[in-house]
Amino acid sequence: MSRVIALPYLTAARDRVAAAAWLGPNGQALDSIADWDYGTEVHAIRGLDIDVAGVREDCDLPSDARLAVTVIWRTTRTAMRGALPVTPLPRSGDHWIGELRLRLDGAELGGELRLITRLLLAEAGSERQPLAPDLAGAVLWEDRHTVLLEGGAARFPMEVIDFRAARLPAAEAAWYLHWPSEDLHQPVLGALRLYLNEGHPTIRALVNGELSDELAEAVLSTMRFDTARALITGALADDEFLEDPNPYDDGSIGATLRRLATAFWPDQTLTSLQNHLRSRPEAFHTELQERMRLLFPAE
Amino acid sequence: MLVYPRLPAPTADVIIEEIAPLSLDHLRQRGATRHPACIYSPTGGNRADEADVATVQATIRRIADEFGFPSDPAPAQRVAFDQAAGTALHDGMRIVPADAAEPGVWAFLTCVVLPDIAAWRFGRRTAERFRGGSRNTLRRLWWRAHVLDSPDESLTARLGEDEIVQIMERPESVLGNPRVARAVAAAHLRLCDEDGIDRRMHLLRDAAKRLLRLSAVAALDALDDSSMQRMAAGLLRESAAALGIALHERATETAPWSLAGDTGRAIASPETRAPALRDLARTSLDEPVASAVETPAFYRVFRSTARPESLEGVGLTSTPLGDLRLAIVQAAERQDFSFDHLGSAVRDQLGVEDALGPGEIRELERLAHSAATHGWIDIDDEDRTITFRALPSGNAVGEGQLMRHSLTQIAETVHSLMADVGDDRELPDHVVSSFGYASVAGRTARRIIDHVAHDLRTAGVVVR
Repeated sequence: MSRVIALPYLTAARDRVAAAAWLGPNGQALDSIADWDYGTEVHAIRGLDIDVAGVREDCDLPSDARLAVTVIWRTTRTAMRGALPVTPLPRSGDHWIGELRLRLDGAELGGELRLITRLLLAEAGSERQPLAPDLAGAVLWEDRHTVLLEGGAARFPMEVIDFRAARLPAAEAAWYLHWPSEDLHQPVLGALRLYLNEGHPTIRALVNGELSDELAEAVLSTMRFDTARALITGALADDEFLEDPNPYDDGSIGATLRRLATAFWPDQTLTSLQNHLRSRPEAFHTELQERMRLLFPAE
Repeated sequence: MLVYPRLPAPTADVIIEEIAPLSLDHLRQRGATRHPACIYSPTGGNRADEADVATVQATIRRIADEFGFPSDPAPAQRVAFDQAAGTALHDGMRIVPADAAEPGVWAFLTCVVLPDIAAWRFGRRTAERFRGGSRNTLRRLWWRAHVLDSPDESLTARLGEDEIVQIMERPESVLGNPRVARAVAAAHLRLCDEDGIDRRMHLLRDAAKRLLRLSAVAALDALDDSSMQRMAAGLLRESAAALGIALHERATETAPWSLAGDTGRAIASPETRAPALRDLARTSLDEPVASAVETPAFYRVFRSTARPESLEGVGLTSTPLGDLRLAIVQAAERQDFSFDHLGSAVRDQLGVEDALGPGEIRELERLAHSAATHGWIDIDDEDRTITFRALPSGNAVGEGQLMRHSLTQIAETVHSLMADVGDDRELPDHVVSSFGYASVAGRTARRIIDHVAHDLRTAGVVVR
């Protein structure tokens, strides 16, 4: 199903703005930052080439309408957001080539950093057409980019702890999945965590890189399967979730559960999956093994 | 800036169970400054040591004592404690904000360092006040202070608990930007003070909804301080008007906001859109703009040329959802319509429980938001009809009214053009292609209409 964008005014065609990739300080494309920590500022730069005359034409804006560019940033760890001060484009000229430079304090960031580049209407100008945008700040064009700040942990957080010191009831278990099954609105990054037991010999060896590749892959495959099974069966036991799986925001546990279930059983509704799990649990778990390719050699 | 120790969540649960029966005195004695299970942020940073933790412990205990610990706090004492403790935590902990989003930090401070405080502040010892999530006793105070207070002004001191929750509960929205949150809160307080408003919660709730809708079409994050204040003040006044709250007359209304100084205009402020709205006022819009264009000929032209992405250019949507879309209209036209219950309202309307997948449900909500504020083209491939639709203005925000106006224009004009084109008559190719060109290029409705009319005339089709 396509995404619906219904803005109450004309917007610019995609190709009116040629946006170069976001680059880091080293000139490399900025998709993730290795060894990032809270003390690391994020520096990013990107070039923009804007067909200003074309944008005016698409949007039915008069020649004295003024445009501006900005970058909105959001971060999944803190849910904080902010914006680069707007750069107004010159009043005259049919073409603008320039660059956006972003410098963010690492202390506010974490998880995924989302950068939304936007071309905005700054001033609507003198002549108004019915469908032309005339709200200062109206978004005429935008582009989104995600930078991973904490590697894979930004998508599935894990921590290594000693289960005995942490006083977990099963001190010799291999892992422990913690998730707030009672509140699926919570963010994956803050509320869901897979704890790995440092006190377990195989897990310790895995964490220290001492397992053979084949064995490490087998352990990881089992871990992924067990985690997915716990999440999916937990979700399918939650009548409130099944009744309305709708209102969970991107990045929340509810949204992740919905995605997991539909990824493995794309042709089934959540309720029919629940019936399947209840009536034939052994078949359900076996199918999940197959769909997750449990213990298959890495491809 | 510091990062604090993190208590693993399962350990927190063990401790919460353990301390449930203990008295406040006992809990205070139990308070410690470290725990063997604690770990630190894997991404590094300067670590808070035991002395830092002890300072936090002493500060918060002193504030609690000041407001009556261990006696049950009266409501006013709770408010005063929250305010003072929030400021003290925010200023005193020097915690990296990203670390302050980490549940383990707050679970450590609440379960290990200050177990007496959560038990005293809330009386009932629910686990969520001890766990590190968003309802944690100390975490919520730190974040309020972080978002709403500045060195110049403490808004948390002036807002009620419900009002703070209203602003803080949507961190994923534009209200997650402290500049926006502060501007809205400050404008709210100013209007309430100046006009002696007592329905404060109603006012703020309505303004928050307007803000979220407006943020879908405008980059509010990017407004400068002065424009941000004017935007917030304008929203609050709109809310007051919508709720029937009388405001004092003001000598000069605040000017609309702009991004680049002086001449930008606010679409949300009706008086600034005089020409379009004057026309609108002359048109009866009590009925939806439905059924204006339902001829097979128009369908044929439109369907063969218009691509969904081109429709976005004229602000219209065309996702083939058929009945679902109609259900949205019907749900949204109901008297008790509310965005909050849109998903369930639409499903009631459709009478389906399980027929929709989660992706469809989510899509529905998005569509419904667009539809209820804007408008859309309904393409029915089975009946081969095209229908322009928009909701009655009662449900629409300011932007929607403009779209209704445009839809009315398009619908009526195209309808009159197409009335002359017999249903069975094939249209010449170049008519079709010019229509396609006009729409694909994202031109205005007026130009689309002109193109079609011109080409119909040159093709010898009589157009009135």
